[in-house]
Amino acid sequence: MFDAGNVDLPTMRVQRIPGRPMLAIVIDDSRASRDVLRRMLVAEGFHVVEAGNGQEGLDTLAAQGGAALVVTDGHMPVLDGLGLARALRADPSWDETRLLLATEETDLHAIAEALEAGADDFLMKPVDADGLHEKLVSLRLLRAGAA
Amino acid sequence: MSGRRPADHGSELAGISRDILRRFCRLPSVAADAPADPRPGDGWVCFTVGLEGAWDGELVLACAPGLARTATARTLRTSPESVTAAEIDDVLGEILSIAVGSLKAALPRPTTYGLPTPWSADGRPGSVRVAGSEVRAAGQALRLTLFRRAPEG
Repeated sequence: MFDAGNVDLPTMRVQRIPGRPMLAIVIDDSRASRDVLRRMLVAEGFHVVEAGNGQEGLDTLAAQGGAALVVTDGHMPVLDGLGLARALRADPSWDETRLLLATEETDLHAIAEALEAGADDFLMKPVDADGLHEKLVSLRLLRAGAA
Repeated sequence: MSGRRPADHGSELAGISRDILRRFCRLPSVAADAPADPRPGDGWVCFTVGLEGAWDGELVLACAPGLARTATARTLRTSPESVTAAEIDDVLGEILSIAVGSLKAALPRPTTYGLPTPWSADGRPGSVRVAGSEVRAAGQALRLTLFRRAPEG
């Protein structure tokens, strides 16, 4: 687990708490990809915690008592993005957590499978800041035009 | 989809490489005229991802040492002198992961792929080179080569 910031947050829900950043958990087995996403999310006003695979991400989610957003890679060791989506949606504690799949997968069948498993939306890798911003707006985590 | 011709795969691989270098590593690149085979040794960073299913083979990435260091530094927004071997492996492995995911739509279905692992030239006996690409950034080469395992017998 890699804590990218120094803000200690209790339980988070999707609603933004005035004066506090929303919590996002970035899950990817590549440190570089986590780094890229962390920079973009911090620029959007999120507090970011990182995890190296799906299981570590679930453990982090539980340890944090929830998160507004989970951004996960698809292909990872231990527990992949599909497994993470199924596990996360099997627990009603995380109903309010938005799940965004950041994937290199261009096979639409694989993406559809992840959406059916509980991902709210997906982003193609390499992720760019504008594309991420649009998804955060469509997931109602940001207002249009807000950073 | 029945898959594309080898020449199409070569141009597709070059386009994928350039797109990843530009968007992930923030590095401009140009396609080279004569794609070469992967070249392990001499400090080149080489990774492979296995392909299974309708396309049985592998996609191999080989990157010249100077470009591997530069691409890693640009991705992590640090200086080339400060990057570690583990960071280089992480970034090059991720480049290959993105490349194979991008290529997958051009391969016959169903084809699945695994995680990147270090590659050596004798790693997969029976594999035949089908297509390759070379792009150059920061004056050095990055190669992607697609192999297919020949049917047994």
